[in-house]
Amino acid sequence: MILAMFVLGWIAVNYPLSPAKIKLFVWHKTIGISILILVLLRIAWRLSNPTPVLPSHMRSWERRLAHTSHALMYLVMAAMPLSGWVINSAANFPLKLYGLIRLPNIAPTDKAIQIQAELVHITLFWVFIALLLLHIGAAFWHHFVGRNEILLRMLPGTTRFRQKTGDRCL
Amino acid sequence: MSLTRVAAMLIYGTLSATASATEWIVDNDHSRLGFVASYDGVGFETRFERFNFRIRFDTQQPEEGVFDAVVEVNSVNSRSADRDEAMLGLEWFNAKQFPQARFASTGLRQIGAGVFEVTGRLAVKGITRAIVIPIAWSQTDHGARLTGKTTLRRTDYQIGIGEWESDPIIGFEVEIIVDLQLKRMD
Repeated sequence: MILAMFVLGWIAVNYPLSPAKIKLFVWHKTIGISILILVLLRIAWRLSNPTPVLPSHMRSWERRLAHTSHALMYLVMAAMPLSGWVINSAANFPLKLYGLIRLPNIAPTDKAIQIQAELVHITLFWVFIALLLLHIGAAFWHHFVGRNEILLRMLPGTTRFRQKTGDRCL
Repeated sequence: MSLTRVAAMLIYGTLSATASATEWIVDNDHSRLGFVASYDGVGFETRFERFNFRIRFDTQQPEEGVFDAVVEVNSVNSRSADRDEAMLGLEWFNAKQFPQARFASTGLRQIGAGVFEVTGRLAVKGITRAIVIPIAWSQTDHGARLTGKTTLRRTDYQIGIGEWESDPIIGFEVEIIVDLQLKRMD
């Protein structure tokens, strides 16, 4: 979904003004708001449910880095659609969810605000890419270099017991 | 009949026609001329910031009325800088080549109490078509108020050409809105 957003957003911005461009943006906006809703649900779930404990062999800087980058990813995933919503509001274009539900403007109509929000939106995009690379890199690092089961414990069927002990499975 | 006599009659006739209908001045700051169009099925309102009217009207003799307007297309304001810029482009109003839209009445008649019908020719983007606008006229403390609405198809004036011509993402129907505060010219 997020990947689709990157592609849609990128094409939409660079597309010449046409009905197709508007439709690309309409989809970009609908999916963006959907992601916002899903991310908020995910954050609520995460806060109200215990998360798998980090393996005991992880050093404290690793833990800090993991927690910070995870928190940042959630933050960016919520802030990106929000900043997009601000762009749309400041530009005073209508916003509809799946072509059905009208959503209100969340910022006053103002070209300066629009430009600022666009800058935030694109910056967050690169921040997210960086975080994603860090996240994937860390997963591979744990798997291939650290040789622990962090990556594999995402698979269904791995037991809670083994997740908690953090024993090496390879 | 001598030529001078004919000329004198013509001049007299013109003068008497002028004198019989009241001339009105539009208070631009308290008036609105614009249209409502739609984007992805959601209506958006616009107004023109600069326009000039020439209105001569008397409810007692509506058929002698004149209702002419010149609108500066570049002054369109839809409260969205991006959209305004796009609207002036080649495919839309092409304001560079056609900076003004004009309306000239060809006839007025009463159709009800305080309700009249203005027939005239609307020229937008170099295309002139006959249109009819029903208007409501009411006296106010300071003068008069004129309100009117009519729906046009943007494609009749080649507003939105190319792919826009057949794509409903920008709605085909456009409602013209006129709401004028008028003062009697002394």
